[in-house]
Amino acid sequence: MKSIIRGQVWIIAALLAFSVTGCASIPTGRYQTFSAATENIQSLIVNTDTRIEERQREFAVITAPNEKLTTSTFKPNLDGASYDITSQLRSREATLDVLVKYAKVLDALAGKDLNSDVDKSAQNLAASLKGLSASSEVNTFSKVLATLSDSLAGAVTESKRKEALRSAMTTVQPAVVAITNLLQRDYDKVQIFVNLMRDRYIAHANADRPPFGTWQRFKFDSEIAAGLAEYQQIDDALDAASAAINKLPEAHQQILESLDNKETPLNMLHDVVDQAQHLRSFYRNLPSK
Amino acid sequence: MDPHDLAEQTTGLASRVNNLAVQTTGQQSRQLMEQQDVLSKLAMVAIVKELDAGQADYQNAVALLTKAIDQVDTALQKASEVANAINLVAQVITAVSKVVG
Repeated sequence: MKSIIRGQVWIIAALLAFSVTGCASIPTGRYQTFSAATENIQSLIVNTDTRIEERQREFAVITAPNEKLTTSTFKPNLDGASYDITSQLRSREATLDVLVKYAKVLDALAGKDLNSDVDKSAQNLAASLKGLSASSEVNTFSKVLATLSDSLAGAVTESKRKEALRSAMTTVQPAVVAITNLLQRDYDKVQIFVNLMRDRYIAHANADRPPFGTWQRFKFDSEIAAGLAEYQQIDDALDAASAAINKLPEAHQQILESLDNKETPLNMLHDVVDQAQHLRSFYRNLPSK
Repeated sequence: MDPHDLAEQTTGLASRVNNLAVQTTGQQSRQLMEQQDVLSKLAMVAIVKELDAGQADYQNAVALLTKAIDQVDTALQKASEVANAINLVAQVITAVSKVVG
């Protein structure tokens, strides 16, 4: 959590820097595509997290002890110790949401309908930070940011956009790296968690599998095949989202450098956009069960 | 010691116990299956919790996990060692439960 806070302190500092000087000719398209890419990544992750939660419910049923039913029979815990991953998933979603909202601030700042868009996106970023956690540190931090975002929105003028973008992105770059590293580490853990559930799913299916050559076997195996396909989709989605997230810092850096040098390669931004477009229709593109 | 060691080693042991359960039959296989369910849940608890790797209980559990992994590997080669493996896994379950509980 400290890493998140530290990262977002950088964002605050960057947002403050929006009030400095600058000039015209901002390549707005790359800000729009960067923002859209982060939204696509977020969409896939939220969708995948929902599937993981559904699998967690199924796992609790499959591994329930042979005892009388009670209200807590299928709760995700072991002798009172919870293995419910939902709050971890929500925490990661909230962290990613900060990046999404930050990308929107950049997009608004680069855009032409400046004041109202910047104000709106800055307010959304402040709101996103509010959703991070109920801890006192984060609450304090969120209040500070909300105040800063308000003053930022009032201070920005069209002529100052380019310098404001340069200053903000330079300041935020380390935070983008820190947040993506944090997301990456956490998704490795989520993948292990999902694989543990999948392995138990297979083991329990093996224990009760009907005899070969029977209709029951066919029906049973069809159901298991569908379940395993879903696990594979989740695994692939985690890999795909992770690969896209890993490229965000370099894409961000390239956009920043391209503000002053039109020859700056944008290959990482293009990679992120390509991957994000694929992510947008990830589950739809996979074969149906 | 890393705060993720316990989750990773418990996951590794659960996987090996699964292989042993598949390889054995009857009561031992059922026992291993139950142990594997518990080990998987313990690993999942360890993943979602922030654990203190500096605690003596944590280090004791990781040491037992290493021993149990070796024992299960031995049992996979030698059927007469399965009972010892089951006993050691039971000790691991107690030790890890103490850390994550």
